[in-house]
Amino acid sequence: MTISGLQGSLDAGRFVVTAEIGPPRSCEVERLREMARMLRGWAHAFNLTDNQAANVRMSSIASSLICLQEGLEPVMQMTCRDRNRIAMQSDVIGASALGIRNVLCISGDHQTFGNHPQAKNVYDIDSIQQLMVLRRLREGANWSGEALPEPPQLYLGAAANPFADPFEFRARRLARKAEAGAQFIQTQCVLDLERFRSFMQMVVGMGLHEEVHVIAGVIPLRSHKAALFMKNKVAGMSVPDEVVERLRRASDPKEEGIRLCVETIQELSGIKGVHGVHITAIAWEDIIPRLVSESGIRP
Amino acid sequence: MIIAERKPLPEVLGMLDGSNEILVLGCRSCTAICLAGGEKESKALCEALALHSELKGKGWKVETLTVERACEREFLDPLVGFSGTVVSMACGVGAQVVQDICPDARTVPGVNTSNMGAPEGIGAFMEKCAGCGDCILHLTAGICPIARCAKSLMNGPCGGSQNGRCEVSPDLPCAWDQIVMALERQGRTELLAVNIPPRDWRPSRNGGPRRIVNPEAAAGEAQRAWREGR
Amino acid sequence: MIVCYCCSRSGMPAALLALEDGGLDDVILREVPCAGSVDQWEVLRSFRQGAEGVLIVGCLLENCAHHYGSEIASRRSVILEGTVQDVGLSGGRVAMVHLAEHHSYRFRRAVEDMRAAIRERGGQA
Repeated sequence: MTISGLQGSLDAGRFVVTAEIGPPRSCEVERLREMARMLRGWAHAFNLTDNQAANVRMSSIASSLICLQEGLEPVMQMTCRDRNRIAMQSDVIGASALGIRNVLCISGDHQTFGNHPQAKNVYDIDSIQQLMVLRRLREGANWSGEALPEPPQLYLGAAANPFADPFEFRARRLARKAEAGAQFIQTQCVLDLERFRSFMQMVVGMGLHEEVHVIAGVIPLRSHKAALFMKNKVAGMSVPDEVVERLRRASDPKEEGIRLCVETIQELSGIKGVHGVHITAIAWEDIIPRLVSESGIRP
Repeated sequence: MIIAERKPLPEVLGMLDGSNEILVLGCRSCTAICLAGGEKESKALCEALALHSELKGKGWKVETLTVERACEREFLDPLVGFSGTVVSMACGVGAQVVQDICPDARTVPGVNTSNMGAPEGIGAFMEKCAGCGDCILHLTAGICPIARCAKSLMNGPCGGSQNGRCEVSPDLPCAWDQIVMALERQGRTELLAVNIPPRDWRPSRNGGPRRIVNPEAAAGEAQRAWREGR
Repeated sequence: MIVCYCCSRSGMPAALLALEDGGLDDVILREVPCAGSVDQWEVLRSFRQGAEGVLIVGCLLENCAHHYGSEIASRRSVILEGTVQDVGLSGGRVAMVHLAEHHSYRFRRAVEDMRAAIRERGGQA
């Protein structure tokens, strides 16, 4: 049974595009609607992040609904940091009731990174357990075993980071997420193609490409400083020196960054097991239409 | 053991307004080992308070006493009947038992009690146990993910693990990186293929303050009668 | 009155040598096996007994007879300087000086520096 447009496209063998939208910090609904209208049609689905980097923002469920109203298909992200299993099940049932179908299950950045480091975190369950719980909801029961007369309709996703350590374990962890209920995977941004290829070889070697759809993350970099920041300050990112150098030497770093991103997308579309790309263009969302059209992957 | 740190002196001084008799109570167990509240530290605080009292004319009578274990009533006999201020250099447990034993006294904390851990390196103490009440160290090669993983993941590591370090701080090892390597070393990699389902947190502090009764030692009628002199 | 805790190996010889040249009548020497053996409470007790300042005199860091006692003493003296200010005295009253047994001038200078700090910064914080 096809639950969402994203699932339909992936299962039909199409190379999908998903993109990320960062919800506003306050009730700037009109701004969010404008961004949604600008992006409509340029991706199969759009991720609405959940208090990303542990900074308070409009909730993922609310922003997902607003985007849904503007004709976008949302992927609601839900971290394990701020909600226990009771709140998660409740929010997901609510989300499904509102028409939100795609849910991405992630651990979430530790709260010490964000603007409320003093907060107590939750971490009642981790992202793998979250997949188990939400899958059971879809199958008709909540985690305490009570049958649900109208279960939520959910297409479940998880994240994978081929650039974190231990490297050899990452494909196995993807296998465990698939077993727990993940139907699609969005990876950390790929700037290190070589390492990503090794990772995908392991994934395909384990036959996982037939169990889950891997959507590779990409990010347009505006300058060599942005590349350096990613390299040194962001946990779990692998940025080869050649990328930094290429941007440093460019006469127009922004254009070079766009070109690099388009090239990366094209490379990724040729890797076995990669069924799409996920574009993260924080504070540069208006570049997404250009990236999609120049890569030739418009939905 | 329980790891604590001395409270900053200005904070302790702020708790002592209106005091007359002050007893700095040290403990020879956990807080002595982690160099927070043993005999030396208690004597040092005692001298500091006495000096402060003299300089500022507070008129405090300050003494110090260090007991074997402040959490067990048997060792606290010398304190019974004390009605001044006790600055507890014992952990939060000891401080509360002392307050219980001396209802007329006012017990204030001289240390910040932090966690259950062990010495690691010189003068450093690392958190090891979260007191979850349902130990699974046999599944994780003797490394506790609840205490030592910043996100208490049961199916880690997360995507922030890099070079064996936790995303929260480069000083923190990634517990799951350690677990994976240890399980490989122990030849128990089959454990890495199993997804651990959501945990029952009831045995932990999340289920409410815990009262644990040892089935053999729990007092029955005969023992109660004997204690009460019947 | 400045109380000086001097280690047997370096502190005492240097201090005694300095005393021979005079002008150090306000100094009281206390010999200890190692600067690192001086506990916090002893230093604080010295203030209660009338000391205006306390000097801890130990070996050069790389030359401690007990390997790292001088190093520990150095860290401890920094903590004590803070404690002494927290209880209400002015700063500069606790200091560590590292020297070799013949460095009588280093000892003298440390005493003079402390006298100056006590004089300039006054009695209480």
